[in-house]
Amino acid sequence: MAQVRLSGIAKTYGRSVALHPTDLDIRDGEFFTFLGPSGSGKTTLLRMIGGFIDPSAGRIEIGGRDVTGLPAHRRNLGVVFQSYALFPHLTVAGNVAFGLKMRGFARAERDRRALAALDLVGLSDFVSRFPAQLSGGQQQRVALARAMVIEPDVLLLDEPLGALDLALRKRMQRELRALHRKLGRTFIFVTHDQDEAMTLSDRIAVLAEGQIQQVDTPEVLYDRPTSAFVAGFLGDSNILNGTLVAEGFQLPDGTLVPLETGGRIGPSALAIRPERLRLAVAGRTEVRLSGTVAALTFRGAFVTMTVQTTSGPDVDVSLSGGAAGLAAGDPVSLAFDAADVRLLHGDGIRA
Amino acid sequence: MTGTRHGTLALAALAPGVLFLGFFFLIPVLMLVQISTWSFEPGALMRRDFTLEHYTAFLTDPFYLGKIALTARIAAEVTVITLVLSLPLAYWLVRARFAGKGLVLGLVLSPLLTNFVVLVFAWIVLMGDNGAINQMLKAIGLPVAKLLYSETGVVIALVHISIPYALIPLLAAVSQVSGDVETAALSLGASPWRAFFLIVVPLCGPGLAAAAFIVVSIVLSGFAFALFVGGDNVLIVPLLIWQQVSKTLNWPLAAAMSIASLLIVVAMLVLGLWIGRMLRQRGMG
Repeated sequence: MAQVRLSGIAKTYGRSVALHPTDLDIRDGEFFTFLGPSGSGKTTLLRMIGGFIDPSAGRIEIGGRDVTGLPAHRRNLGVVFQSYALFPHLTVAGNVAFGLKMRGFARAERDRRALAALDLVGLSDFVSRFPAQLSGGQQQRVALARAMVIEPDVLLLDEPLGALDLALRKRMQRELRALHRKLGRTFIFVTHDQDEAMTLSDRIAVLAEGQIQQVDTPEVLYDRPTSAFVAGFLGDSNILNGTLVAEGFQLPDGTLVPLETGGRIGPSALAIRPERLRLAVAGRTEVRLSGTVAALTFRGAFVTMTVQTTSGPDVDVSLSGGAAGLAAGDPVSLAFDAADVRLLHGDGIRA
Repeated sequence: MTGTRHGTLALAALAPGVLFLGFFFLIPVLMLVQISTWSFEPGALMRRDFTLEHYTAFLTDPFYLGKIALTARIAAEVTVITLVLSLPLAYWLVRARFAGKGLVLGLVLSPLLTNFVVLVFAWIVLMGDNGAINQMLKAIGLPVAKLLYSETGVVIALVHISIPYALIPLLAAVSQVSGDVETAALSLGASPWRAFFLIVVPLCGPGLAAAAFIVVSIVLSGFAFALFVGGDNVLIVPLLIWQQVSKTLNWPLAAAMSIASLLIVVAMLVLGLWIGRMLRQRGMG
């Protein structure tokens, strides 16, 4: 059992706040991701769980045990770094066996387990190489084997794929996912890459400005973001400002989007994904946005059309069937279903 | 084409330094080699013949062998003590974050900027029979130690002068050990002490080798420190050379001892470079 429970955990440096008081429960065996831009507090959070930074306040429990005051080397966590952080003076086998040596395993047992861990990441032929003789992807596999071989309660991964090129990163993502399924351990992963977070994670905590913005599954975060920040950070979103009235959400030009407002009234914002907007079809009753085509961008599988709307901001529309003969400057009418928009808590932080 | 032009440029840039070294180092060394093979003649200084008797004397006479052993022992002691003190200091200076770090670094490196006469005077004040150290020992009821004009005093003075020189390569070495690597060791269950000895110290190997080499060079060239702090009681080889030059006026023997010392240092340097290359081949560079 290795669920991680954070209660009121916070970090301040003098007067600057790296992490506001945060509560979070990470379930046993979960692939959990901290997603956010640099400076959002995601690495601070990970390093506090690892015991490399002391929290200014709050409590950390791992597997039901309070580890807040426990030094890093007694927490039994595996850590994988973006920089790999292999020991350059030890062989691949020496690196992987290091944690076992610290735990007092006999030589033969160390060798056996190290080899098994290297076998798991497909590097059993490289035992006597030194880290400098390996490629980046191989080094990161060694780092993974080294962190897993000690059978940690939780594996912490600090942007482990950030230094790899795109193709290799995709492959390593698949391997990580497979490894997680095979081991069934709790993985806590840090990244600023929303694609990576959505591909890998069971659940994601989106962080910005030292605060968790939303915690949920990738699907819910994408489909039902609760803030402009989450809507903009996970995939593309058009944010429309307007006013909540009794019948729904009113755009500045008077267009009404019928919504359940929950009784709230006043200035607010809503988000709609570019792929949820479409060209309006004459005669059908639907919510419409009218404007002029500002730009067309070819994206391969679809075309992104930027439209300057009469109600204010530019919106992006993804058109999978091509631009339908439209060109920049043409008047255009867009439509969407009220069910596809998300009302945002107007907290002002934007991605 | 550009390669040739670069080559010419590089040669032109190197020329002044090469000429300077050739004139003021290489030629004097060759002259020293020549003098070391002339025989000593009291009254006439030396006779221009050829003999290896000074080398034989230096390397076989029990008196000189004893002094060589003393020099080697002092060099080893000074090197070990200096490295043991300097590595943790370098580590702390690189890793710790506190206000006034620059000041501490300046203080530690200050012997580099301190006039030699001031240093000697400070050591005499500190280590004299009634000096500050002995008065402290007396005050806490410990027996007085013979520091000035003793081997201990020479070692202390040489360690003091060596620390800043050793610190410079060690600061560079420690700052090249990534913090993540140490953090990784902690996460794998190594206590901070074990992480230091199993990870930081080996990774500072090349820096430690460079520092050791510098310290040995300081001991072998620092006759002036030994002269004022050790005097005739601690006759290390550099001091012997100085005596032969200025008192006995046996220049050929002095030259032979100098060349022998130089060869030992060169041999150490070659050995150090060779070890360094071996380590790099193992992927440590």
